[in-house]
Amino acid sequence: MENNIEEKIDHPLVEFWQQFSKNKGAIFGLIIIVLFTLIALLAPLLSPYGPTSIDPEYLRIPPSFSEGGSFKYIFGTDDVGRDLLSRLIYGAQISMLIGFFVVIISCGIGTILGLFSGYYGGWVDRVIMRMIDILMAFPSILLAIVVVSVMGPGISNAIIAVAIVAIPGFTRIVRASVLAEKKKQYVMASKTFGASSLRIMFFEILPNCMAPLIVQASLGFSDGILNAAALGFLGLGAQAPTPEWGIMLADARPFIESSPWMVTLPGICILLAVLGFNLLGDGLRDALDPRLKR
Amino acid sequence: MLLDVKNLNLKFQTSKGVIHAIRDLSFSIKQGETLGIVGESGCGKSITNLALMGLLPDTADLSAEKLEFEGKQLLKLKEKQWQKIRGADIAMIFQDPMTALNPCFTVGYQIEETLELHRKDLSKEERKEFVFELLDQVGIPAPRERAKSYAHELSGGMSQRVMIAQAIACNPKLLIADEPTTALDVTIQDQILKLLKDIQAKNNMAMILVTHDLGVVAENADRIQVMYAGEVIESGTSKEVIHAPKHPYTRGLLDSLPGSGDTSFRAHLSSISGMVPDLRFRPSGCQFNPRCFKSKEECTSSRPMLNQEDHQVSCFFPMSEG
Repeated sequence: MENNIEEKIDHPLVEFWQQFSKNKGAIFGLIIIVLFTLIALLAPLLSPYGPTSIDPEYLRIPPSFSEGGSFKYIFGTDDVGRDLLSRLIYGAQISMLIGFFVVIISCGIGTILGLFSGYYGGWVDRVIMRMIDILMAFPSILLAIVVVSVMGPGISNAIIAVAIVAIPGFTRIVRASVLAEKKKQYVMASKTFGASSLRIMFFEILPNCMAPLIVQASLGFSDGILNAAALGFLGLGAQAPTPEWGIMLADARPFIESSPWMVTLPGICILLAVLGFNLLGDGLRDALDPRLKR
Repeated sequence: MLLDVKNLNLKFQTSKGVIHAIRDLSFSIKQGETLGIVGESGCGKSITNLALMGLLPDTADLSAEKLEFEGKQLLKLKEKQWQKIRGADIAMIFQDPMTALNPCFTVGYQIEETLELHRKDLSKEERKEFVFELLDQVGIPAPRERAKSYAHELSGGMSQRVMIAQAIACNPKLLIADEPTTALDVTIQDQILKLLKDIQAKNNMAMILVTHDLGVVAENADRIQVMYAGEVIESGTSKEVIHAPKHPYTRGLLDSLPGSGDTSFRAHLSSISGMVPDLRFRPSGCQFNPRCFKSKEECTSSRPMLNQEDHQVSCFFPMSEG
């Protein structure tokens, strides 16, 4: 009996998955992300060596699949003899963490600002949106550089800087959805049942704005990784021995001709992670949009 | 008196001038009574309801000699106090039940939310049980399963039942039904109105039934109040207003019902010519005079007031009986 009813009613998540799984690119993106996440979580188990352990015998050894490579170091070693594979694996951990925290911070702050701005309107809206406009007036990486140079380099400051840069996107998206949602009758209905403004904002309107927000969050993840890597590359993000992909790129730059794998491999990792999240974001958008129109 | 309104005035400041949406509105409602409010679109029915719930937009300027609910001065309430009254003492149901339910949550959860707000004495389990009870009370079959559905999975009639369940969850003393059956088809309309009447009788709840369907009010309301351009123009028991309307406008409304005049096949329906006045440019004198077939000079020069008889009417030349 119970099962019968459950089957008849298509849960929104089931419906969503049917739409989403039709999109091959999105599935590909999802697989990449799941892989990277697993690698990040299992980094200590997967990596053959420590991320900073040095083997002076093997400096700049090419990957095992190319000429002169050694099976001891599958992806080769860098200029001070660290195993590239281990560093890339730990780099995944760092990049995923950066992306995660960037999205949490920017999405949290951006959503709250957007909700207040859209719901209250008037001067609240004007103040918040002008602040957002100011943030948007700066090129994003430049703004991040400014923030980091004020607070000093380091991985947590890089996260904060990148998160601040990402706030306007979230605020604008949430505000736009709130403006549309707050006119709907269910908002008025919950007012007549005695709900407070905060309750209406966070428990009635916000869940209805989730679709664009999820898309923006997944795109924000890739932007976060990319911007943090850029800061690392400029020496303003994570600092030297940290196995961060951006730093690895920067460190390998002098050897780009003699040991191209040192540049290529972290580059490919950044590319794959960003591509994965972008594909996922696009897939989510395609799957969630028709529900919005309905 | 449960609700007592005296000389309520509502103005909107707009960029194009002041709109005087409600003018000197007075009415009262007793416990357990049904008041039907009838009128054309834009005559101020819905905005009156919002005023009674304290949900007017910020641009509204509300004043009243008296606006009392159970002896409480509604005009002096703060937002926090309003939130305690809304849903608990005064509840409202809407014209389009499909859009009045939040599409993101199950209907059971939405009813539970109302209980969570106003019935702090109930535990989580008791609330859940009570939701099933309420759904059962409004005639929803298999309430335990239905509570898990979303708004888009329910038909219009079902959604309206859910809305009613939510509205009566805290046993309000006054239920405002803003065209509760307009979006539903006729057979469902009847069921919903019957349901409302049953609940009303059981809980001794007062009800304001707003509609433009004269048939609905005639059958369901104890008293009827006809509104035009933000004013009450006629008020009396249902029987009086329907069978012996005094105001030419009420007469016109009744005449424009199908089957009231010429009943031959494809006969023309009679209608009231003209339009509701633009509230920014109200006509002088009686608001109805530009459309009234009885209009005389006096109607344009001075404004008729509601007389103080049981069957009130604001007209210089009321219709004679019959």
